Amino acid sequence: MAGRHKGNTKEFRELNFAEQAKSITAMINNLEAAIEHHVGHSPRRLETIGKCLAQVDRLRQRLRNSYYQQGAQAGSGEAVAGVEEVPRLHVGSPRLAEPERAADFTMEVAEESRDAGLR
Amino acid sequence: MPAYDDERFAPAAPVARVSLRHPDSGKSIADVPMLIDSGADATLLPKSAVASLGIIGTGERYELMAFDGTTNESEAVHAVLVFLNKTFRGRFLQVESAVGVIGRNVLNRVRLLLDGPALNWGELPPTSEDA
Repeated sequence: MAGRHKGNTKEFRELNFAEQAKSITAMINNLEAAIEHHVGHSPRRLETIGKCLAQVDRLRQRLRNSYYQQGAQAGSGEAVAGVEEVPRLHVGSPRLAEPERAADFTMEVAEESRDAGLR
Repeated sequence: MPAYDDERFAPAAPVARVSLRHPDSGKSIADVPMLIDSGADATLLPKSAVASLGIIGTGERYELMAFDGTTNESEAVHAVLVFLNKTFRGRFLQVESAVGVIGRNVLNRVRLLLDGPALNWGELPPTSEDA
């Protein structure tokens, strides 16, 4: 793993288990601070937030898939502790489970005076 | 005509950049990306955009079902969406994504051309029946 740890004296692999845990926490905190700084300086804040969250989601997904595969290979058939199932973040073509409530979403439509829609 | 979004979607998908408005304060936010999704029953706004406008949920919860049968719950909000020079005022759901979804409750009020081969989309002119 790139970078040195423990006062720049050790590689990550040379740390003991507790030191590795602390190092991972520090790296996650650094990542969070970096994303906040990046978002704070973004000219397109929402888009940057979306991209950063998507990167973190993909990281989680890769780790989750990796640990589920390891669980399957071990034949446990059980979820890995601490690796919870999370709802999908991207819901494509969502349908109302109770279609009779569709009328709740009827829109009041009016013409907008200025061009604010087609971009 | 706006181009399809080929950065977030593969294959590229029609995404509109809309404005959202707080229904009471009038505070607004522009350039919110929304997937044009004729398979969606309702319209879902990105939670981050809703939060940035200070819109509070109504407390009503709706269960949404994805194409594969998985379900999610979403709390409704009242908001105003500005799309194709029209304001759509009413109840919206929320999604944990930077890209929202424009569903048929809005799409059925406009005339769109999805030009797949050209990877762009646009509004069709009104017909005599619209007048």
